[in-house]
Amino acid sequence: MTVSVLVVGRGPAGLLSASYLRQRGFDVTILADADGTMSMWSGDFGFGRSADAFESFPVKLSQSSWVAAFQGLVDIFDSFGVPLRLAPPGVILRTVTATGNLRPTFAVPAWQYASVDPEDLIIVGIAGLADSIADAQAVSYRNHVRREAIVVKLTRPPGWDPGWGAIRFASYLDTRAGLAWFTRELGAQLRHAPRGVPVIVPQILGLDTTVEIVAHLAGELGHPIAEFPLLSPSVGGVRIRDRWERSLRRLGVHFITGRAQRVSPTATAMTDDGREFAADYVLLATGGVLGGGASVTIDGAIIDDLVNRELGKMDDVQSLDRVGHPDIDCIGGGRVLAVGRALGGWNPNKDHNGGAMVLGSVHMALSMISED
Amino acid sequence: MRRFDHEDSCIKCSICVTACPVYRVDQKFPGPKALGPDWYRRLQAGQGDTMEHVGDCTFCQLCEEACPVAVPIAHLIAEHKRHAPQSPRLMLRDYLLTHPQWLAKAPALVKLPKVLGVPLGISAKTRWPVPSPVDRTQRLHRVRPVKNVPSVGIFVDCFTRGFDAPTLAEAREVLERLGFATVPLPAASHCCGAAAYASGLLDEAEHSARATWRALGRGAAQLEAIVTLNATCDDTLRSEWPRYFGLELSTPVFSFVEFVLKHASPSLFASLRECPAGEVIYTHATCRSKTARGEGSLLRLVERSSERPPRVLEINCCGAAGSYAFKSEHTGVARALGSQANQVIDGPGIILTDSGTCAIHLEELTGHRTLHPARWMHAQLELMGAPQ
Ligand SMILES: Cc1cc2nc3c(=O)[nH]c(=O)nc-3n(C[C@H](O)[C@H](O)[C@H](O)COP(=O)(O)OP(=O)(O)OC[C@H]3O[C@@H](n4cnc5c(N)ncnc54)[C@H](O)[C@@H]3O)c2cc1C
Ligand SMILES: Cc1cc2nc3c(=O)[nH]c(=O)nc-3n(C[C@H](O)[C@H](O)[C@H](O)COP(=O)(O)OP(=O)(O)OC[C@H]3O[C@@H](n4cnc5c(N)ncnc54)[C@H](O)[C@@H]3O)c2cc1C
Ligand code: SF4
Ligand code: SF4
Repeated sequence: MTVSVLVVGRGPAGLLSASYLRQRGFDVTILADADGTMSMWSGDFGFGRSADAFESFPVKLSQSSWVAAFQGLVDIFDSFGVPLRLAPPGVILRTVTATGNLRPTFAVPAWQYASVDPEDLIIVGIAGLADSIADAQAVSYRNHVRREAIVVKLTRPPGWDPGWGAIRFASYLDTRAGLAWFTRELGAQLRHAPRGVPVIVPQILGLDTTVEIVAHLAGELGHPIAEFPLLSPSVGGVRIRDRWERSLRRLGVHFITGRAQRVSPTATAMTDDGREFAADYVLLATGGVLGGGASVTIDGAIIDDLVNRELGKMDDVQSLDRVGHPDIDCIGGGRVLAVGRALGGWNPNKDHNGGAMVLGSVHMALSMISED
Repeated sequence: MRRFDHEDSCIKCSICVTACPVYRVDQKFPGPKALGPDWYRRLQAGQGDTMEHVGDCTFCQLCEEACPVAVPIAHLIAEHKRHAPQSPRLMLRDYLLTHPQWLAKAPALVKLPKVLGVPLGISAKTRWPVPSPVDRTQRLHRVRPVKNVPSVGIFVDCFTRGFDAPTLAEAREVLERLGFATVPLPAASHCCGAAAYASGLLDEAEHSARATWRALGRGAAQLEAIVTLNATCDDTLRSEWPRYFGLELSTPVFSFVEFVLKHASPSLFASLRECPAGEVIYTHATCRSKTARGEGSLLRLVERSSERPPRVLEINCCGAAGSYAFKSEHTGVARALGSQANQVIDGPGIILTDSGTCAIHLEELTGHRTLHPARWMHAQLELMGAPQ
């Protein structure tokens, strides 16, 4: 008999669980009532920004398990057309933020700029794109990183209006006209720039054809070219989400829309409109308080209504962001498991360790399922 | 002004913008956030000026489905459409197109030369359906529930009534095979109101909905369930009627696909899977099917009933969107959306989809035969019945 798993939630934790489970031949259904947070961040999977981030990490896996988990992530992303760059052992990759800082990352989409050693950079600013603050970014980069940053600026594209955000710029660059405009304008600006210096551009290089656009620009302009992420919603995250969901659909994952209301310890879920889904396992990838997987009652208790379990009291918690199930086997019995942010004890918004937490918790849940 | 739930909950995350199919292909379309919650907040503040491209929203509701805080984005946009000025010529067209129950009574009208519709703003490019050869009034013969046999109503939507008699007939045969007597409802041609709602004609939508609700009323009470053939009508009856018009049905509503999944026996599915595998099946749950229930059920039905694993057509909205593709100003967007199917189809096969307008649109753009799942199920059952 094929083992069936119901994944509740389609944020990064839900999608990653589905990929791994499908790889192993399980029958997978994803039940979610809304999009998750994959489109909100650029998809660089890290352990956090502090120097001891790895040592102090809340999920404890052996070094070899982490290596295997990250290698598995690279393979999965590769399978749907998102090349991930993985830091080699003992080396820290750094990516540039929109405000001109370097920040450590562990696995980052290849379209995003990352480097082991700080480098001189050419920063592209684009008029009419909010969050493109190239001058300030360059000043900050020079001050913090102590390398040169040259600014070049592009004017607004034809057809631009004040409603254009990063997503609109990116869909414009997916068109032939948009790419021609960008190639021409950037080429003109780079004419006097020192050749070979890496060029970083705001993350707008298309939604559907990014890999091709990056290759095209590098060929035409004679500079390595990569993006830096903007604020959310993130074009990089949207690309990943779209490709990831498409590939899961192609692999035969059943996407169901609806809100789960109750999950029994015997791994049956009931939706608020009366549908029932029975499975061998349920993975709660419901995102904690932020993702709608936990709520606060009027008397200050924080509960996960799905399994009717109290997760804490408002008076006792320091940050609501950290609240979630204390363990993966969240109601005992081993058939309902919490992954991603549904598992508590960490705060990615503060500690920036969301990617590794998602990866680590999904990896642990999977090993519990496989052991049975 | 209509009242909604969560109409003012927007947290400005813009996830809806990332989910909107029209936003991706139409550089002028301002997107769900600007047209829905942002516009609505301005309206509340007394600045009710409308935006130019509001009419280009397909009402697919993919934005609503994505929204983490359940803002009724598409419904706010429909309200926005209602406030937007429209030329008398296009008002007339929209009024006609959004009363498909009239067209369903005289489906042969679509045989008139297409150029006649052009001055009205009706697309000369989009393919029209072929009328069904049924009697002139398109009244269905009243069928009474059969004693001792569980009876279900089968909701005959405007498209099925006017243009798709084979789907209705074969869906009934499939349900009868599962042990249910079927009663087509309502007897006369009515529209659930979805078409008018999508165009921002909210009063007409409510009017149509009420008339249909009354027409269903008496007969439906004795039935175990109402089975729908079109995903948009399904969602309209099941959730929009109670939510936006306060119209409750005492009988539970199921889509054909979900009803069959629930009631066909494991042994029937097992026998179906033993039949020789036919063509590759691409499943396309329509946008409204995805947003209301998810595309996984149609995929599951085909998996259970056929040995050959189906392929999901990985597109979001095909652009047909009820009467959307029939409006000349939308032809470009509708075709751009539907043509995306060609990028994911990788060989011969047939497409299954739970909407008649989407079926004609996809068939035209992909060249692949496109059918309602009921017709495919029917063929599978025939195959099973035939000596091997
Ligand atoms: C709709 C809305 C309207 C608002 N209006 C106002 C207003 O009018 N006036 C006002 O004063 N305030 C307003 N606020 C609040 C104000 O925007 C916030 O207080 C402020 O943005 C919070 O800053 P922050 O640094 O805590 O978090 P954020 O602004 O969310 O920034 C967090 C940063 O960290 C990054 N990050 C998050 N998680 C991770 C992770 N796991 N790993 C790595 N990086 C991560 C993010 O990408 C981001 O760069 C509003 C907020 C909202 C949502
Ligand atoms: C602004 C922002 C910036 C970030 N930046 C970074 C970063 O720089 N680096 C990094 O590593 N990580 C980052 N993250 C990611 C973050 O750290 C976590 O990884 C992520 O938020 C947790 O994802 P999740 O899959 O656990 O939950 P979510 O993505 O929140 O998904 C929850 C899902 O569950 C569904 N759901 C909840 N309850 C129910 C129910 N009852 N029934 C049905 N469905 C339900 C929701 O609809 C949703 O689909 C960022 C996140 C945000 C929001
Ligand atoms: S209903 Fe569809 S077309 Fe309209 S704004 Fe929402 S997602 Fe876009
Ligand atoms: S998804 Fe919902 S909350 Fe987010 S911007 Fe759109 S309407 Fe607002």
